[in-house]
Amino acid sequence: MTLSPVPPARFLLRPCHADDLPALERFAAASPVGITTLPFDRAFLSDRLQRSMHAFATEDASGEEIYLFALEDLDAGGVIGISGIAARAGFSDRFYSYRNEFVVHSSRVLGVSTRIHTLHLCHDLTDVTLFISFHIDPAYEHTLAPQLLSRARLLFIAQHAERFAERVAAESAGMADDAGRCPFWDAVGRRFFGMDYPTIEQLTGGRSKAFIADLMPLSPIYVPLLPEEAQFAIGQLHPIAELPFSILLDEGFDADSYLDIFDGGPTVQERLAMLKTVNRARLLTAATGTVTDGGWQLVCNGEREHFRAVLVQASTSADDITLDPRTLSALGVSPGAALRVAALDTPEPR
Amino acid sequence: MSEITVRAAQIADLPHLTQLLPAWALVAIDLANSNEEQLLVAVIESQPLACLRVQRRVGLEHPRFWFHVGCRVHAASELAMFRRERTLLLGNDLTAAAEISDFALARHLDSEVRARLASALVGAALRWLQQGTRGAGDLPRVIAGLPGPRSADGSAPFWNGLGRYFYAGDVDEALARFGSLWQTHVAALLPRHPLVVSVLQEQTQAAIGEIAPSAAVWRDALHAHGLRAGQHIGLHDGGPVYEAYLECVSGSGR
Repeated sequence: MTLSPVPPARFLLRPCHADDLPALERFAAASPVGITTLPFDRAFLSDRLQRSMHAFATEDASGEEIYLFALEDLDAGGVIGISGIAARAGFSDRFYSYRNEFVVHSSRVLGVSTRIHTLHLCHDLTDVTLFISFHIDPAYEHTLAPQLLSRARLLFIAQHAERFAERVAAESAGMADDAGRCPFWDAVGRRFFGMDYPTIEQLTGGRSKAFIADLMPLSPIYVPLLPEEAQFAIGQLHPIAELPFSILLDEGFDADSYLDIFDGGPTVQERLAMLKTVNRARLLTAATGTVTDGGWQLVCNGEREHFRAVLVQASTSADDITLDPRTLSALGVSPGAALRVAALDTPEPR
Repeated sequence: MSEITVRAAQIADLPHLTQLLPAWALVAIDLANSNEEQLLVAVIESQPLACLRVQRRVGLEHPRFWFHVGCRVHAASELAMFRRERTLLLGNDLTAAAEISDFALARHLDSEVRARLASALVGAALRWLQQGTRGAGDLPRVIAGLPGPRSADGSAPFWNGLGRYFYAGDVDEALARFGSLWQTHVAALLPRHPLVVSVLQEQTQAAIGEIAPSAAVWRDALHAHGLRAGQHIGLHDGGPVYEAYLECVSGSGR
């Protein structure tokens, strides 16, 4: 029996370039209220693109860089997703989060001991590397494309570790309805600012949130004192965040320690070295040939400005990875090139 | 007009006092009427009709707690924002102050008699405090915590929106068991960090510094003698603590 070859890589992740502005606008326009890293503002998005292109190109990284990636469908053509990395959260400013803490109050005389959930405004995640701007065309949500869109960022960070922190974090959109009403904001932030959530999002969109957070009370919030609706919203996800969040959880991110100060959504974080893709990554030599079997592999080249990553079924040995010629071409490499490869857990083939 | 006499309570007054004060309050009071504290009764025609307790210094044996009502300003010209936020901070600020407490009046009296009784008792308490010797470490203030508002079911809206989340037990039971000391014990369970008032439920916020309607007669008496609502409230019902420098109060009323 002759085995048929596995298909070449269908999806390609690469740095965004100037021609991707319409795609960014498309994703920004489709973003519900609460997705702040991409406001629907052409000048802002254009500036973001320029910053990203500069970040990929510069030899002199300061930590201020933002890297935006575009995901292409090589079969159908076109950009179907974007994602990004901010090299240092809160660069030149503070990055605020609420930290979950539990304090125990006890009175021996009353025979009572209570465990109280509190939220502490903190700067713990300042200077960690931050995943940003995950957007996928809904038609591709159930394909393997989101896996590549999210996880390949870890390969890029591992490849260029000197540009990033040893810890990575990612904010996830919290609960809000279609009108932008956010129970957590209504119970906490709104009390101080007298503004609704969409308004405050407009004020903070794309810029540091620190100037808002500076105005918030520094003393802890005692969660039992919040309305039940707000308590329930703590650590809950906006439906749009469920897919990227599930990928991050699978990577091994801790989702229990921090919250977004605006919508109460979970902010995940973990040491880079503890994450699955980084742990599994190996440097292998590219070989070409017909691939008839093999597990799914995240594969990237060693470039920065010309970074490319794919997700492909491939056979690997201790030293080599065999890829079909089209996939090698998509990666922009020739046989013999060094590739960073990380196995992906048994996803259903699409 | 019947003449009012104010004197120290005696053992023989107990049958009347049990009509005025809850049992737990009577247990805590020293009817020997030492130099440190007295239970004063206002008497008309040999009938004790009102009482209050006065102590030279509080919180030196067992820590006493109050919430301090403070203010924090959040301002940002960029947002055209300037907000004053009230805060509550648990503390022992009034430790070693002189205190007037355990106010009680017979229910059947008309308002004019009630006002006269309250005024006579407050005046007597202040005179007793001014005549006595106070220690060098004593706070030179007299304080008087008044009861805060209650709901129709007798519970305190302030407690319902704050304290009960930290102590879910029955307050009446705790009072019966520990008397006024229950506040010392429950303070161990309450928030140690400043609380921003605007995060609390509206009914809870509204109760801060308010008095129960039945306490209005005592508020008026305290006010007439020079005491004013300060920046502290009670842990249980959020009632205000009236206060004044002892040297500034009038034992005769104004």
